[in-house]
Amino acid sequence: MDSEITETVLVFDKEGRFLHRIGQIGQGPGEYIDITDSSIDFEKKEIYLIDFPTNMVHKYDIISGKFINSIYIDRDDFKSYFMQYVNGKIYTSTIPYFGTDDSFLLQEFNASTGNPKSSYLNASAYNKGWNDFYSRSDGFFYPNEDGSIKYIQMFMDTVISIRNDEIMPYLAIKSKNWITEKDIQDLIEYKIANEGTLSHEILFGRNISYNINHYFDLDNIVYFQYLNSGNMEFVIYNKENNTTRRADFLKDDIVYNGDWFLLPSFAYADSKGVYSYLKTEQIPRFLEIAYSDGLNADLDKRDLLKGLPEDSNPVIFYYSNR
Amino acid sequence: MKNIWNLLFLSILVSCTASSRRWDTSPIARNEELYVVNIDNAPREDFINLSSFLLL
Repeated sequence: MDSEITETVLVFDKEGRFLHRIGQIGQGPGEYIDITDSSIDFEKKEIYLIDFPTNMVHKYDIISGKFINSIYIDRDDFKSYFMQYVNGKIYTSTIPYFGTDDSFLLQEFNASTGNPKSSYLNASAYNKGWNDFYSRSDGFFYPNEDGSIKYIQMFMDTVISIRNDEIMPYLAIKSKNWITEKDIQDLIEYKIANEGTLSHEILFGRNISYNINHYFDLDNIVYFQYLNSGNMEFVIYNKENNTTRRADFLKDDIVYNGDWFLLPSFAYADSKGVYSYLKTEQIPRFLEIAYSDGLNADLDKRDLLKGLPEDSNPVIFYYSNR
Repeated sequence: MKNIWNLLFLSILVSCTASSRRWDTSPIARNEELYVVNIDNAPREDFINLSSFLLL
C-alpha cells in the first residue's frame, strides 16, 4: 500500500518485480479516494481495501488485480480507518462521530453484504474510556498468516485475538504505570478546552505507559513496542518459559554489523519469520551506512541494496525465524 | 396538534429503538490460557540484539 506517491496498492513478486496495481484513484467501480487499510484472504487470494471517505470496502483478486465487488460499510455514527477480513467477516476499528462512554471499539460486518453484525469491546472497559481519534501509522490490527488477527487500541492493556468465530483476550500487560481512566479524562478535558485540538504532550510529561505497537507473534515469542514516560521501550515475551525482556533500544544486528543501524519497522509475521520495511525517506541514511561497510557480510542481496538509488521504492526485509 | 407531537415522539422512539437494535453488542469469550506479561518485573537491559530472539 503506497500512501505517498501513487496512493494505490501495488503488487510485486518476491524478487521485487512490479506485477500490477490494485484499483486506482477515482469514483468508478473498484476505484477509491483514500485507502487507509488493507487485508488479505490468503485462502481465496483476495485483498480487501477500505476507502475511508466513501465508507466502502472493495475486494480484488490479488493474482490478476481484477476488481470483484464492493460493500458499503453501513455505519450511521461511526468512522473507520482500519479494517481486517476474518473468515467471512469484516472487522473495523471504529470511532464514533460523537463520543459516548458506552460506544464500542470493534464492529463486525458480513463481508458479502456489508450488514452490521455485532459490536465488541466497550471503550470504557477496554480503552480506559477513550473512544475518540488517536491514530498511529501501523494501525490497530496485526494479522497473522494463520488467518487470526490481533487487535490493540492506543490505551488498551490487553491484546485481543480475533480468530474464526472467536474473539478473546490473548495477552494482558501488567504494570503499575499503565495509563488510567483519570489520565484519559484529563486528555478529554484538554481537548474540549482547546476546541478539539489533541495534545500528545499532556501524556508525554507523565510517568505512564500506553500505546502497544509494532506487535508480532511468532511460535515462541511475542514482540512489541510501547511508550513509557514518553520514550519507546521494546519487549520480548517468551511464551514457552514465561520470561520477559525489555530495553530502551533494539539493535538490528542481523542487517547491520556496527554501531550505526536503523530501527526495523515490523509489519507482518508469518509462520517462519517477520517482515519489516524501510521507507523511501530512510533510504539515504541506509545507503550512508551501507557505503561505510555497515551491512552484514552475509546479508542476502547485499550488493543490490548498496546500489539502490536514493529515491528508491521502499525496501521490504524478511527476518527468517527458522 | 397534540396528535402531531405524539406522532413525532413515536417516530423518534421507533428510530432510536431501530438504531440501537442494529448494533447488537456481544461479550467476548473468556480465555483460560491468557498470557500475562508483567513489564515492571522484567529486568531492563541496555539494548536487545535482534539476533538474540530471532533464531536465524
